[in-house]
Amino acid sequence: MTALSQRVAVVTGGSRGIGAAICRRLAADGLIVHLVYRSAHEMARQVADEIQASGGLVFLHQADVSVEADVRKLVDSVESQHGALHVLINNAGIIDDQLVEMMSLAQWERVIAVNLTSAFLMSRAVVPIMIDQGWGRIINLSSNSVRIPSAGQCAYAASKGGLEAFTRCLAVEVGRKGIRVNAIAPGAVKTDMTATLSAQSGAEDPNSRWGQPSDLAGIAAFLSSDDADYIQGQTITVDGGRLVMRQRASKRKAEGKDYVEQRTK
Amino acid sequence: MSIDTVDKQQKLFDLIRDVKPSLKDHPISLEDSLVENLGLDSLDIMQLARKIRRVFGNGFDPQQWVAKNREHRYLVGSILEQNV
Repeated sequence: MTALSQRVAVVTGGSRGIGAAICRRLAADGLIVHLVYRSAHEMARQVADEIQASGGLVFLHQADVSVEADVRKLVDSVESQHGALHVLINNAGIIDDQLVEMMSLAQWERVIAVNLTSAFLMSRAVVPIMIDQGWGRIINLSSNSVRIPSAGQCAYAASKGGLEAFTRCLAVEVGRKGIRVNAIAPGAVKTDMTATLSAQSGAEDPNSRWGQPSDLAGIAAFLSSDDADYIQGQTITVDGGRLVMRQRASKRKAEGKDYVEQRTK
Repeated sequence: MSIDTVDKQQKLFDLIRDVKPSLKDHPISLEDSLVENLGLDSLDIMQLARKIRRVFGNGFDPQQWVAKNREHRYLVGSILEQNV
Protein backbone atom coordinates (compact mmCIF):
# COMPACT_ATOMS: atom_id res chain seq x y z
CA MET A 1 0.00 0.00 0.00
CA THR A 2 1.41 3.35 -0.91
CA ALA A 3 -1.36 5.86 -0.36
CA LEU A 4 -3.65 6.74 2.47
CA SER A 5 -6.69 6.85 0.21
CA GLN A 6 -9.35 4.21 0.66
CA ARG A 7 -7.93 3.06 3.91
CA VAL A 8 -10.45 2.57 6.65
CA ALA A 9 -10.03 4.25 10.02
CA VAL A 10 -11.96 3.89 13.25
CA VAL A 11 -11.73 6.77 15.71
CA THR A 12 -13.20 6.32 19.18
CA GLY A 13 -14.37 9.38 21.05
CA GLY A 14 -14.72 11.09 17.69
CA SER A 15 -17.59 13.44 18.41
CA ARG A 16 -15.52 16.23 19.98
CA GLY A 17 -12.12 17.57 20.90
CA ILE A 18 -9.03 15.71 19.72
CA GLY A 19 -11.06 12.81 18.32
CA ALA A 20 -13.15 15.10 16.13
CA ALA A 21 -10.03 16.90 14.89
CA ILE A 22 -8.43 13.56 13.98
CA CYS A 23 -11.61 12.48 12.16
CA ARG A 24 -11.58 15.67 10.10
CA ARG A 25 -7.89 15.31 9.25
CA LEU A 26 -8.02 11.64 8.29
CA ALA A 27 -11.10 12.24 6.14
CA ALA A 28 -9.34 15.19 4.49
CA ASP A 29 -6.41 12.86 3.77
CA GLY A 30 -8.79 10.51 1.98
CA LEU A 31 -9.41 7.83 4.56
CA ILE A 32 -12.87 6.40 5.11
CA VAL A 33 -13.60 7.40 8.69
CA HIS A 34 -15.78 5.56 11.16
CA LEU A 35 -16.53 8.01 13.94
CA VAL A 36 -17.45 6.33 17.21
CA TYR A 37 -19.25 8.21 19.96
CA ARG A 38 -20.92 7.11 23.17
CA SER A 39 -23.70 9.62 23.77
CA ALA A 40 -23.08 12.96 22.02
CA HIS A 41 -25.10 12.16 18.92
CA GLU A 42 -25.70 15.76 17.88
CA MET A 43 -22.03 16.67 18.12
CA ALA A 44 -21.06 13.54 16.21
CA ARG A 45 -23.63 14.38 13.54
CA GLN A 46 -22.21 17.88 13.28
CA VAL A 47 -18.65 16.60 12.79
CA ALA A 48 -19.89 14.13 10.20
CA ASP A 49 -21.79 16.87 8.36
CA GLU A 50 -18.64 19.01 8.24
CA ILE A 51 -16.60 16.13 6.87
CA GLN A 52 -19.19 15.29 4.26
CA ALA A 53 -19.50 18.93 3.24
CA SER A 54 -15.76 18.89 2.58
CA GLY A 55 -16.10 15.81 0.42
CA GLY A 56 -14.98 13.26 3.01
CA LEU A 57 -16.50 9.89 3.70
CA VAL A 58 -17.64 9.24 7.27
CA PHE A 59 -19.89 6.80 9.09
CA LEU A 60 -21.27 7.21 12.59
CA HIS A 61 -21.42 4.50 15.24
CA GLN A 62 -22.91 4.79 18.70
CA ALA A 63 -21.00 2.48 21.06
CA ASP A 64 -19.58 2.32 24.54
CA VAL A 65 -16.10 1.04 23.74
CA SER A 66 -15.55 -0.10 27.31
CA VAL A 67 -18.29 -2.71 26.75
CA GLU A 68 -17.16 -5.90 25.05
CA ALA A 69 -20.41 -6.54 23.16
CA ASP A 70 -20.48 -2.99 21.77
CA VAL A 71 -16.91 -3.33 20.53
CA ARG A 72 -17.61 -6.65 18.84
CA LYS A 73 -20.67 -5.25 17.10
CA LEU A 74 -18.80 -2.12 16.01
CA VAL A 75 -15.78 -3.92 14.54
CA ASP A 76 -17.93 -6.59 12.88
CA SER A 77 -19.97 -3.84 11.27
CA VAL A 78 -16.92 -2.03 9.88
CA GLU A 79 -15.34 -5.24 8.66
CA SER A 80 -18.48 -6.47 6.96
CA GLN A 81 -18.90 -3.10 5.25
CA HIS A 82 -15.36 -2.79 3.90
CA GLY A 83 -13.67 -6.15 4.43
CA ALA A 84 -10.82 -4.17 5.94
CA LEU A 85 -9.80 -1.96 8.82
CA HIS A 86 -6.48 -0.22 8.58
CA VAL A 87 -6.26 2.41 11.29
CA LEU A 88 -7.53 2.40 14.86
CA ILE A 89 -7.34 5.56 16.94
CA ASN A 90 -8.03 4.74 20.58
CA ASN A 91 -9.02 8.22 21.69
CA ALA A 92 -12.06 7.69 23.93
CA GLY A 93 -11.31 8.91 27.41
CA ILE A 94 -12.67 10.58 30.49
CA ILE A 95 -11.30 12.67 33.33
CA ASP A 96 -12.85 12.19 36.74
CA ASP A 97 -10.25 13.66 39.07
CA GLN A 98 -10.42 13.11 42.79
CA LEU A 99 -7.93 12.77 45.59
CA VAL A 100 -7.28 9.10 46.27
CA GLU A 101 -8.70 9.12 49.77
CA MET A 102 -11.96 10.52 48.43
CA MET A 103 -12.15 8.48 45.24
CA SER A 104 -14.77 5.74 45.08
CA LEU A 105 -13.95 2.37 43.61
CA ALA A 106 -16.63 3.02 40.97
CA GLN A 107 -14.87 6.23 39.91
CA TRP A 108 -11.52 4.45 39.66
CA GLU A 109 -12.95 1.54 37.70
CA ARG A 110 -14.84 3.76 35.28
CA VAL A 111 -11.72 5.77 34.42
CA ILE A 112 -9.66 2.61 33.93
CA ALA A 113 -12.46 1.05 31.85
CA VAL A 114 -12.92 3.97 29.49
CA ASN A 115 -9.29 5.03 29.18
CA LEU A 116 -7.51 1.68 29.25
CA THR A 117 -9.82 -1.33 28.94
CA SER A 118 -11.47 0.16 25.87
CA ALA A 119 -8.10 0.26 24.09
CA PHE A 120 -7.56 -3.39 24.94
CA LEU A 121 -11.03 -4.38 23.71
CA MET A 122 -10.74 -2.39 20.49
CA SER A 123 -7.21 -3.56 19.76
CA ARG A 124 -8.11 -7.19 20.44
CA ALA A 125 -10.98 -6.91 17.97
CA VAL A 126 -9.03 -5.24 15.16
CA VAL A 127 -5.67 -7.03 15.41
CA PRO A 128 -6.85 -10.20 13.60
CA ILE A 129 -8.10 -8.06 10.70
CA MET A 130 -4.83 -6.12 10.53
CA ILE A 131 -2.77 -9.31 10.72
CA ASP A 132 -4.77 -10.64 7.79
CA GLN A 133 -3.99 -7.50 5.82
CA GLY A 134 -0.35 -7.51 6.84
CA TRP A 135 -0.77 -3.81 7.58
CA GLY A 136 -2.27 -1.80 10.38
CA ARG A 137 -1.86 1.22 12.58
CA ILE A 138 -3.01 1.49 16.17
CA ILE A 139 -2.62 4.87 17.84
CA ASN A 140 -3.41 5.34 21.50
CA LEU A 141 -4.06 8.76 23.00
CA SER A 142 -2.13 9.03 26.23
CA SER A 143 -1.37 12.17 28.23
CA ASN A 144 1.46 14.18 29.71
CA SER A 145 -0.20 13.44 33.04
CA VAL A 146 1.78 10.19 33.02
CA ARG A 147 4.95 12.23 33.50
CA ILE A 148 3.69 15.38 35.22
CA PRO A 149 0.47 14.47 37.05
CA SER A 150 -1.46 16.91 39.16
CA ALA A 151 -2.99 16.03 42.52
CA GLY A 152 -6.25 14.19 41.99
CA GLN A 153 -5.13 12.53 38.77
CA CYS A 154 -4.13 9.13 40.14
CA ALA A 155 -6.80 7.23 38.22
CA TYR A 156 -6.33 9.23 35.03
CA ALA A 157 -2.52 9.10 35.12
CA ALA A 158 -2.56 5.39 35.99
CA SER A 159 -4.91 4.65 33.10
CA LYS A 160 -2.73 6.57 30.65
CA GLY A 161 0.48 5.06 32.04
CA GLY A 162 -1.10 1.66 31.56
CA LEU A 163 -2.03 2.67 28.03
CA GLU A 164 1.59 3.52 27.23
CA ALA A 165 2.77 0.17 28.62
CA PHE A 166 0.02 -1.54 26.61
CA THR A 167 1.24 0.31 23.52
CA ARG A 168 4.79 -0.98 23.91
CA CYS A 169 3.75 -4.54 24.67
CA LEU A 170 1.26 -4.76 21.79
CA ALA A 171 3.93 -3.34 19.48
CA VAL A 172 6.19 -6.22 20.47
CA GLU A 173 3.39 -8.75 19.91
CA VAL A 174 2.18 -7.70 16.49
CA GLY A 175 5.00 -5.69 14.95
CA ARG A 176 6.28 -8.43 12.68
CA LYS A 177 2.86 -8.69 11.05
CA GLY A 178 3.11 -5.15 9.66
CA ILE A 179 1.19 -3.47 12.47
CA ARG A 180 2.56 -0.35 14.10
CA VAL A 181 1.38 0.58 17.57
CA ASN A 182 2.24 3.99 18.94
CA ALA A 183 0.90 6.53 21.40
CA ILE A 184 0.51 10.28 21.41
CA ALA A 185 0.82 12.14 24.70
CA PRO A 186 -0.83 15.54 24.42
CA GLY A 187 -0.11 18.27 26.91
CA ALA A 188 -2.76 20.79 27.85
CA VAL A 189 -5.29 20.80 25.06
CA LYS A 190 -8.46 22.86 25.15
CA THR A 191 -11.40 20.52 24.83
CA ASP A 192 -14.74 20.02 26.56
CA MET A 193 -13.04 17.42 28.73
CA THR A 194 -10.41 19.86 30.01
CA ALA A 195 -12.66 22.92 30.21
CA THR A 196 -12.74 22.85 34.01
CA LEU A 197 -8.98 22.39 34.23
CA SER A 198 -8.25 25.24 31.83
CA ALA A 199 -10.58 27.52 33.77
CA GLN A 200 -8.78 26.63 37.02
CA SER A 201 -5.36 27.33 35.55
CA GLY A 202 -6.08 31.03 35.16
CA ALA A 203 -4.40 33.35 32.72
CA GLU A 204 -2.41 31.82 29.93
CA ASP A 205 1.31 32.11 29.57
CA PRO A 206 1.66 33.25 25.96
CA ASN A 207 4.90 31.25 25.67
CA SER A 208 3.23 27.95 26.54
CA ARG A 209 -0.25 28.24 25.13
CA TRP A 210 -2.90 25.59 25.54
CA GLY A 211 -2.98 23.36 22.53
CA GLN A 212 -5.90 23.10 20.18
CA PRO A 213 -7.31 19.71 19.12
CA SER A 214 -6.09 20.40 15.60
CA ASP A 215 -2.51 20.49 16.96
CA LEU A 216 -2.80 16.74 17.51
CA ALA A 217 -4.36 15.82 14.17
CA GLY A 218 -1.17 16.07 12.13
CA ILE A 219 0.82 13.62 14.21
CA ALA A 220 -2.12 11.20 14.25
CA ALA A 221 -2.31 11.37 10.45
CA PHE A 222 1.44 10.82 10.18
CA LEU A 223 1.42 7.82 12.50
CA SER A 224 -1.47 6.43 10.44
CA SER A 225 0.59 6.56 7.27
CA ASP A 226 3.26 4.51 5.53
CA ASP A 227 5.77 7.17 6.51
CA ALA A 228 5.56 5.94 10.10
CA ASP A 229 6.54 2.39 9.18
CA TYR A 230 9.79 2.54 11.16
CA ILE A 231 8.21 3.99 14.29
CA GLN A 232 7.06 1.34 16.71
CA GLY A 233 6.03 1.22 20.36
CA GLN A 234 6.73 4.90 20.91
CA THR A 235 4.94 7.63 22.80
CA ILE A 236 5.21 10.95 20.99
CA THR A 237 4.77 13.97 23.24
CA VAL A 238 2.87 16.83 21.59
CA ASP A 239 2.62 19.62 24.13
CA GLY A 240 4.14 22.75 22.63
CA GLY A 241 7.21 22.19 24.78
CA ARG A 242 5.45 22.32 28.14
CA LEU A 243 7.23 19.24 29.42
CA VAL A 244 10.73 20.50 28.69
CA MET A 245 9.96 24.08 29.68
CA ARG A 246 8.51 22.87 32.96
CA GLN A 247 11.76 21.08 33.77
CA ARG A 248 13.70 24.21 32.98
CA ALA A 249 11.36 26.36 35.03
CA SER A 250 11.68 23.99 38.00
CA LYS A 251 15.47 24.13 37.82
CA ARG A 252 15.36 27.92 37.57
CA LYS A 253 13.06 28.14 40.56
CA ALA A 254 15.24 25.77 42.58
CA GLU A 255 18.29 27.86 41.84
CA GLY A 256 16.43 31.05 42.66
CA LYS A 257 17.29 32.47 39.26
CA ASP A 258 15.27 34.25 36.71
CA TYR A 259 15.46 33.23 33.08
CA VAL A 260 16.07 36.77 31.83
CA GLU A 261 18.67 37.30 34.54
CA GLN A 262 20.53 34.16 33.41
CA ARG A 263 20.61 35.29 29.82
CA THR A 264 21.89 38.78 30.51
CA LYS A 265 24.71 37.73 32.82
CA MET B 1 -8.66 -39.94 -1.46
CA SER B 2 -11.37 -37.87 -3.12
CA ILE B 3 -10.63 -34.87 -5.30
CA ASP B 4 -12.43 -32.75 -2.76
CA THR B 5 -10.08 -33.90 0.01
CA VAL B 6 -6.99 -33.34 -2.13
CA ASP B 7 -8.28 -29.91 -3.03
CA LYS B 8 -8.85 -29.07 0.64
CA GLN B 9 -5.37 -30.26 1.53
CA GLN B 10 -3.81 -28.12 -1.15
CA LYS B 11 -5.82 -25.08 -0.10
CA LEU B 12 -4.75 -25.64 3.50
CA PHE B 13 -1.09 -25.92 2.51
CA ASP B 14 -1.43 -22.70 0.51
CA LEU B 15 -2.91 -20.93 3.52
CA ILE B 16 -0.05 -22.12 5.71
CA ARG B 17 2.43 -20.75 3.16
CA ASP B 18 0.50 -17.47 3.06
CA VAL B 19 1.00 -17.12 6.78
CA LYS B 20 4.61 -18.29 6.71
CA PRO B 21 6.11 -17.23 3.37
CA SER B 22 9.43 -18.86 4.30
CA LEU B 23 7.69 -22.23 3.71
CA LYS B 24 7.18 -21.37 0.04
CA ASP B 25 9.48 -24.13 -1.20
CA HIS B 26 9.18 -26.32 1.87
CA PRO B 27 7.20 -29.56 1.55
CA ILE B 28 4.22 -29.74 3.91
CA SER B 29 2.51 -32.94 4.99
CA LEU B 30 -0.52 -33.72 7.10
CA GLU B 31 1.81 -35.23 9.71
CA ASP B 32 3.75 -32.01 10.18
CA SER B 33 3.18 -30.06 13.36
CA LEU B 34 2.51 -26.41 12.63
CA VAL B 35 4.57 -25.45 15.67
CA GLU B 36 7.34 -28.05 15.94
CA ASN B 37 8.01 -28.74 12.25
CA LEU B 38 6.80 -25.68 10.40
CA GLY B 39 7.70 -23.03 12.97
CA LEU B 40 4.39 -21.22 13.32
CA ASP B 41 3.90 -19.30 16.56
CA SER B 42 0.68 -18.35 18.32
CA LEU B 43 0.21 -15.20 16.23
CA ASP B 44 0.70 -17.21 13.03
CA ILE B 45 -1.82 -19.77 14.24
CA MET B 46 -4.35 -17.06 14.96
CA GLN B 47 -3.82 -15.69 11.47
CA LEU B 48 -4.13 -19.16 9.95
CA ALA B 49 -7.33 -19.91 11.87
CA ARG B 50 -8.90 -16.75 10.49
CA LYS B 51 -7.91 -17.66 6.94
CA ILE B 52 -9.25 -21.20 7.40
CA ARG B 53 -12.61 -19.86 8.53
CA ARG B 54 -12.76 -17.54 5.56
CA VAL B 55 -11.85 -20.18 3.00
CA PHE B 56 -13.54 -23.25 4.47
CA GLY B 57 -16.43 -21.63 6.29
CA ASN B 58 -17.42 -21.38 9.90
CA GLY B 59 -17.28 -25.12 10.61
CA PHE B 60 -13.76 -24.67 11.97
CA ASP B 61 -13.75 -23.56 15.58
CA PRO B 62 -10.24 -22.21 16.27
CA GLN B 63 -10.77 -21.84 20.01
CA GLN B 64 -11.87 -25.45 20.36
CA TRP B 65 -9.02 -26.62 18.15
CA VAL B 66 -6.40 -24.67 20.09
CA ALA B 67 -7.87 -25.93 23.39
CA LYS B 68 -7.22 -29.51 22.24
CA ASN B 69 -3.62 -28.88 21.18
CA ARG B 70 -2.26 -31.43 23.65
CA GLU B 71 -4.11 -34.14 21.73
CA HIS B 72 -3.33 -33.08 18.18
CA ARG B 73 -0.03 -31.22 18.74
CA TYR B 74 -1.03 -28.78 16.04
CA LEU B 75 -0.71 -31.43 13.33
CA VAL B 76 -1.74 -30.07 9.94
CA GLY B 77 -4.05 -33.03 9.44
CA SER B 78 -5.94 -32.25 12.63
CA ILE B 79 -7.36 -29.14 10.97
CA LEU B 80 -8.99 -31.22 8.27
CA GLU B 81 -10.49 -33.46 10.94
CA GLN B 82 -12.52 -30.47 12.09
CA ASN B 83 -15.69 -29.60 10.22
CA VAL B 84 -13.94 -27.90 7.33
